[in-house]
Amino acid sequence: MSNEPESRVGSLQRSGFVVRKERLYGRLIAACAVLTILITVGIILALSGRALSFWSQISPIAFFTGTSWSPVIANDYGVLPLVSGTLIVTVFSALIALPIGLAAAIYLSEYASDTARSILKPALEILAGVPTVIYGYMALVYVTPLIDGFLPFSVQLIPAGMPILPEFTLVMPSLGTFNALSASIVVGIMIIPMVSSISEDALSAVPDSLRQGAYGLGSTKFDVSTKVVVPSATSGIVASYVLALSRAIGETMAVTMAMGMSPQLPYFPNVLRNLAESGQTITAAMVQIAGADSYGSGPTYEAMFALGLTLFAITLTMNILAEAVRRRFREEY
Amino acid sequence: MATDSAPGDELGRSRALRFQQLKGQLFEVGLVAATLVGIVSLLVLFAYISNDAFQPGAASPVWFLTYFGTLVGPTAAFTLYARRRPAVRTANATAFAAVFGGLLLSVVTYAVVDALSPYDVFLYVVFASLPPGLVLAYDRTTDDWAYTGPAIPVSILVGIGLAVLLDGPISGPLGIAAEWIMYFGLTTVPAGLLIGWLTAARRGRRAGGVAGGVVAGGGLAVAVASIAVGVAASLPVVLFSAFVVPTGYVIARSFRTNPEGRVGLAGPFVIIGGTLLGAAVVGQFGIDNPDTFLTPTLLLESWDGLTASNAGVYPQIVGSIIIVGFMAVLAFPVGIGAAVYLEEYAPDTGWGGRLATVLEVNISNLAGVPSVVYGLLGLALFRRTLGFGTGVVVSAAGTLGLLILPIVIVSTQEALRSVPDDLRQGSYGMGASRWQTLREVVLPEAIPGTLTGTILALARAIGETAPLVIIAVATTTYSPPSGLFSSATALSLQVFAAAANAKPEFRHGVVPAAAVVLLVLMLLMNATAIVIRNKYGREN
Amino acid sequence: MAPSHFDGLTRRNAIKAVGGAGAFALAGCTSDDGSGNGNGGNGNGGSGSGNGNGNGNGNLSGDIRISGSSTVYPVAQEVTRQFAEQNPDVSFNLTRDGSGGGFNNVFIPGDSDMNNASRPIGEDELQQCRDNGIEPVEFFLAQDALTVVVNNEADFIDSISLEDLATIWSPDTAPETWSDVNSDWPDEPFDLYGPASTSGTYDYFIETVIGETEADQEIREDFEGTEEDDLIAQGVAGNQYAMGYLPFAYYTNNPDSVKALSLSEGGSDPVEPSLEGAQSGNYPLARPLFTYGHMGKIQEKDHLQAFIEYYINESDEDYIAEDIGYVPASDQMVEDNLTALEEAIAGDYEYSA
Repeated sequence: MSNEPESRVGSLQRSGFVVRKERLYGRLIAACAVLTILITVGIILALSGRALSFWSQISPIAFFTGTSWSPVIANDYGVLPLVSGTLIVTVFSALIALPIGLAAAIYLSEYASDTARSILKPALEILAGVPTVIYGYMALVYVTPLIDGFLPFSVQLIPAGMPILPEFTLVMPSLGTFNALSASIVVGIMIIPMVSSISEDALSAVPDSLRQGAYGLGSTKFDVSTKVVVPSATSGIVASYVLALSRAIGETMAVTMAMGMSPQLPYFPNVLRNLAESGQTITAAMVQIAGADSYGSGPTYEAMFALGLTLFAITLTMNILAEAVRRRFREEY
Repeated sequence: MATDSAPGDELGRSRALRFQQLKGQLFEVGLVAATLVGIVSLLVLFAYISNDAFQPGAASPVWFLTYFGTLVGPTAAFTLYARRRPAVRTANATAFAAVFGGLLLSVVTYAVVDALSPYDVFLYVVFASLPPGLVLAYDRTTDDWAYTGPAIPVSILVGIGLAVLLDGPISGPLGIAAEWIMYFGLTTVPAGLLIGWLTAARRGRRAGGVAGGVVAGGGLAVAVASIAVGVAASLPVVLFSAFVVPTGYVIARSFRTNPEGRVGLAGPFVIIGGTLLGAAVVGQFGIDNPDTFLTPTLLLESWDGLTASNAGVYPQIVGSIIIVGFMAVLAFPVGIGAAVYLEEYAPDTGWGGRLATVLEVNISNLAGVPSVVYGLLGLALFRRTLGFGTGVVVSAAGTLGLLILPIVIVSTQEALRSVPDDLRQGSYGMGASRWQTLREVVLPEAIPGTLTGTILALARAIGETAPLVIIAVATTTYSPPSGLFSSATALSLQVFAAAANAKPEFRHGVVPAAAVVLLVLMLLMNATAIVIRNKYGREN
Repeated sequence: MAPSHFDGLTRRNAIKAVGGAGAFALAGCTSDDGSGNGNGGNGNGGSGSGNGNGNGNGNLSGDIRISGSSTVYPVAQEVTRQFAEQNPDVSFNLTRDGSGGGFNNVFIPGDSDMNNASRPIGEDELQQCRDNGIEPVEFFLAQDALTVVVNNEADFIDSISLEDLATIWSPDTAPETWSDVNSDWPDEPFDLYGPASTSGTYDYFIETVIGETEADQEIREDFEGTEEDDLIAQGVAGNQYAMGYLPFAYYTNNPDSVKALSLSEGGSDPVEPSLEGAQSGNYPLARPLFTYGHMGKIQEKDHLQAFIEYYINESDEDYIAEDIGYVPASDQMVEDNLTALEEAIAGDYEYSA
């Protein structure tokens, strides 16, 4: 019974072929994983090769501090108008998405019943799933005329005749066909689910003992939500904000279709005028160059890669920052 | 003890507390309002775009009444009846999946094969399936999985290689055969084999053989009948094999195994029958239709920049499907491989552990890179380095595949994590190796989660336009792509290109209709993913 | 939810099926393009039980790639669509790269069979073609009336002189407001729209209207340039003090959304933009529209020859004027083009300006 070298079923020792085969499989699988690093390397190589060639022709200082972007006509490669366009869209879409996303997250995690949650969560996911071309189309064709119906309006903030302060009227002019406001609105709607789902995960991760403790002390639900749960989940909420902003910065089609292609610097002090006028973001400029010149060479074509590298660096930094915030300030329970 | 009026009363009546309560209620109302703002605005925009796509205003009220009577009424009655009877609901769900899934599958198969040339597809599929078939047959006779396992992918590759080599000489003589024979080989034969195998598993070999023969015979009969009537035989053959046969089989099985639920099987037919009946009534009495552009013309013709009523997006739909299909083939294996490595093989400590951490950080960063940057990567990789043409299917599918790869990896990782460790330990306890455990235990359990994540990623990719613009996919074509290296077409790109056209029948007519088609495609894929998750998924 | 099993369809078998389907999908998709045998049919396929795969039984098949001008694009789009309907095995690929953009990026490298252009081919473009071994075959197809448009509500202006137009657009003067140019006009800043610099319309405008400039650039840079001329009209329609210029077809394509200005030259009476004005030459900004063929490819590809012949014959049809908005070719132009095509097929053609 104990000394049966070869039973009919086969020896317990696995054949050399099988061992080698499985080791090969393991290596193939590891290769798949290493491929992902190759992708990052590929992106960096693809972008920096051309970008460096570009920056050897156009000085980086002129690129990063120039105030006029007109690559073909005036040979100006100043990126500041594009950055200002991106900033305008990002700031105004964040103004929409961040409060709404956080409110939705608080509602879903603290107040909503199960039925409500099972309806609202998928509904919010659909917001993120709609293709961005369709958002751009809706912004161009429906949002702009809709909002234009209420404009122009002006609000006199500081009336004439006040002692020190000069008179100031906040004027919202009528929207042009291409304007930053419609683009910001749809981008804001688009990134709400990013904020709400990540924040909700963070809020749900706060242990119930904290809430119960607060209730035990006599807090209302409002107190618990705003003074206990939200501060505990701050790291996750901030991480979600940063990720959503990074997404808004990288958004392309909606801003290309709705915002037009006129890079310009922002207006002060009548800030609202920026919303009513056309502008151009970094991503829209890349699409414009690709549409015109995508096989060629020369500074304009390579400018596209330089813009891409800038964009990649910005979004990468923000994503790393979000991850770092989430790890560092996460409360340990 | 001071026993005044009960302290609770005072507490309850104090103004501070009531103010607090009011504040709390206002807060909750505010939260609900904020949550709904985004959803409601999107619904409003959807209403605008649907209004332009469907144009319900142009239809007379009688039209609505007709369809209410033939479609909405019976469906509602059926739903109410089915609500209380779970058996009926299961049968209904099965029938639904079979009917609509079958229809979709047959239409998509026909469209894609037609675009890629049935002769070429037939050639490649036959050559790619013969060697594995031989390997499988050999496997039945011996008991040696160790060799036949890896032999199958290798044999498929060998088969494809052979097909490439022999393409020239064989396609000439092959071209003599009628087109429907190609479709027969591509759809009826596998359908027959599948039905035969399923029946044989249940009833024995002879019954299986008979069933397979019935399917094949039915396909031949359909082909002969259509030739006799004078209709092209290809589409009826495909419809028979991919729609009628599976539907028939599933319904017959459900009929047998779920006796109380038999009524549920009629569900999809109520809907289809109601629609057809309504259309017949509307046609007969000449009732005013809505002035919609969502007509068969939109789905079957190619674009016409001058006359909106002639414009269609058929090449773009087929092109999008081909791109998405090829992208899935590229991204799925690599994604699963990477996720399996990170979850199963990677050590936790030491150099391997650090590599794994770096890989994970890298993947989560890649998920956040804007899609334009992927477009630039695709441009540099496929156009410059590899030298493919501009805007071909391979470049488009490759670029978008790279885009969704991080998402596939992350969702597969989560699916693998949700497989309980006990299963793995049990398998190791039985003496299985890591690969065997993966293959037999872990992966089968994780597949639904992976599929869900992948299908959601594909649904997102079908709407991505920016990378396609950067790699210069053409926007005006009249035919779907005819192979891997021909120009790609994509539905999202068509919406982008046509958005500038301000003529009312385009801007508020055809283009919203095309956008609605894109939305429907996306919703279908999302719905499939959710159904898979709900039906086969594992509670996390 | 517990994993559910379906008799005979266990998970392992399901995976095998998915894997097998994937392999077949890969196999199916790797069917190559072959020698241009694309079966680019529409919809539900032809009638009759299937035939051969359309190779050499009198059916035209193959690819045609057309690049170039967005001005000529509406004509090319309609003609290719009609041709594709009659010859479903010919697959077209049209892009709007602009006349110059099309030459530089597509035609000269040899990637396209034809390049539409709304201006004649330039000297250096011609030289680069010949350096690459390409002889461009010129076909003069139609004529356009370049239209200057303002917003419908711009009551202060109905006509403009070419000199004022030059002042507005030149980089040397680049006025900020309308009143800088003419004190009768309002004191509002300009909002300018026009074609992008890859466009032949742009090239024609800077040559004909602006002319020589002292500054380093050909035109002021603060206008919104686009490759899609529809957007020019839409942009102008959105701002009361906007102005733009675009081909006549795109003006008629956006009816009632913008107002066209009459042009006067050197003190003459203002002339409205119209096809008659362009044909007779009264309208100052009348310009010719061309398409250039790649002689080598014309000699090689039968379907390209058939298409160009069809294109030339269609260019004198009425719908070019009525539906699209350009002046159709005259009989003389059609004859000349057919002669040029014959010479190109024989290999005898040589371009001369």
